[in-house]
Amino acid sequence: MSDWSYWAVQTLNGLQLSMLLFLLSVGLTVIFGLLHFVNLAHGALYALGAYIGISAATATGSYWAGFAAAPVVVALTGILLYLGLMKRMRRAGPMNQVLVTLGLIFVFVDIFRLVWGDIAIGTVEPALFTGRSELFGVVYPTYRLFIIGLGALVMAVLALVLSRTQLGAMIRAGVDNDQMAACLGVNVEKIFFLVFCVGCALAGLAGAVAAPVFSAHPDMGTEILISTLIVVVVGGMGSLRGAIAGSFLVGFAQTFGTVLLPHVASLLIYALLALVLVFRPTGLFPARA
Amino acid sequence: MLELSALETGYGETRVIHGLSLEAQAGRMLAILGRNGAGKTTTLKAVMGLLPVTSGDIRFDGHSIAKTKPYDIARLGVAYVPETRDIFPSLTVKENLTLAGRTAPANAEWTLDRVIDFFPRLGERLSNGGNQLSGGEQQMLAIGRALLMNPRLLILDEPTEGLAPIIVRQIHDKLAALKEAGLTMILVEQNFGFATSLADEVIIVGRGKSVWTGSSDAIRADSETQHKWLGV
Repeated sequence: MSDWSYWAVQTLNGLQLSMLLFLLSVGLTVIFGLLHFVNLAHGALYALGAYIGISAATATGSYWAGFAAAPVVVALTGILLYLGLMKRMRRAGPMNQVLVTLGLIFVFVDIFRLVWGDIAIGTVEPALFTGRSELFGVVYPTYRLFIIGLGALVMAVLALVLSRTQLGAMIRAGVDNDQMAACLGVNVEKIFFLVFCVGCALAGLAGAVAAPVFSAHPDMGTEILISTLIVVVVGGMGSLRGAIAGSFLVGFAQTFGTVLLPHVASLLIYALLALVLVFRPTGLFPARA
Repeated sequence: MLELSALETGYGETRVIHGLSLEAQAGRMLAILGRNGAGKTTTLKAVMGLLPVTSGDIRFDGHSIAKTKPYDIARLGVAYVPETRDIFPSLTVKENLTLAGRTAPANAEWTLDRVIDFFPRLGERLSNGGNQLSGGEQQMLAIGRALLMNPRLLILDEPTEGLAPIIVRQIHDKLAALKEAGLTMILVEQNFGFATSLADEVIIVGRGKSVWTGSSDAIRADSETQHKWLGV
């Protein structure tokens, strides 16, 4: 393997991790920014997505059944959580929200253990994207290219909806000033709920997409939660641009850190976090200036 | 059209309004005057559903809206121009306007084109961000946005605050034109001359209560009341 193609592969690895982080953090950041709600259980929803994806794929024999089922089931779970817990906790303050959603993580992890067992379970890639592809002389797993493409597609769709549609304007207005938006006849609660559902669905989608690469285990949600929270804080809460920038920074810092500085790689993203907090405490692209 | 009876409201545990009653009649303009901290803005926020009504009632067209949510109040036809203008900085001028006009029927009186005719300055600024406007432009946008709600009642909180005299005169003429067209309005103002030259009725609020009501002419002639409650 030539030097050039080695770095190209690392770049693709970084891109792939960034896209997964993006799918997860975009939901988390808008829930922070719009609902002012700290949802630590977001990582658990990602793990749930992975398990649902695997189970649906196993039951039907088709990867795509899992791909379709995971976002729906996770969004429905999110709706139950919202109506049962979070709606009442909206004004309870961040500390109570952290406690409740931290508790939810333990509940979810035990549910995963009871239903799917302690051992990591894997699944197969879709037939359409098995094997390897050659891209400009670089050989790379096709399925991972699919993840990158899917992430880019979701990014583009969200950016378009947010910047070009009436719904997007209503969401931005709600983040800017929810009371004034309400005074202009915008049902802010309804919009927030819709955004919350989309955020949960994307976490589920991320889980289903990650399952063939990382395989599912009960703690996978907790492990990725830390990186996701760093993405949200680095990028700035509540903004799509922040989620995109944060995902790329953290995804590439993790990937290239492991390659270039293996001894300190695990510290690198915390160093990044500390740097951003010192120089831009509100993140790179906060929704509210 | 809008009736407040023995209204009590405030922020959290702090009660600011202690039994305020007033009435805004259809097709007329009511000015609410009073010193800083008298509770004028608080009253408007309670009308818009932004503050809880602890006791008393707010009726719009005879129906209580004391427990109605802000977006439902807005949809009933009450438009609000807050003291802080509250232009959305992440939205362009055009988006700020169309957001308000999105539920208007096809034959609505106020359309984007008509608001631009009314405030030509906004037409030159349509693609600017909401945070790139001067104070006067922000005020025009806040009023234009409220008009695009096609309101039956327009509530304005200190529309002249911090504006240059020439802009104040422009805003005055625009509000006079709206009054001429028969729009019902409630105006909160510190600028006594501005308010009394526009309003039909005046209510003076002091310490969370109504302390004087009458016509604009009557308050202009009553220097004792002016001195006592307005410090004019």
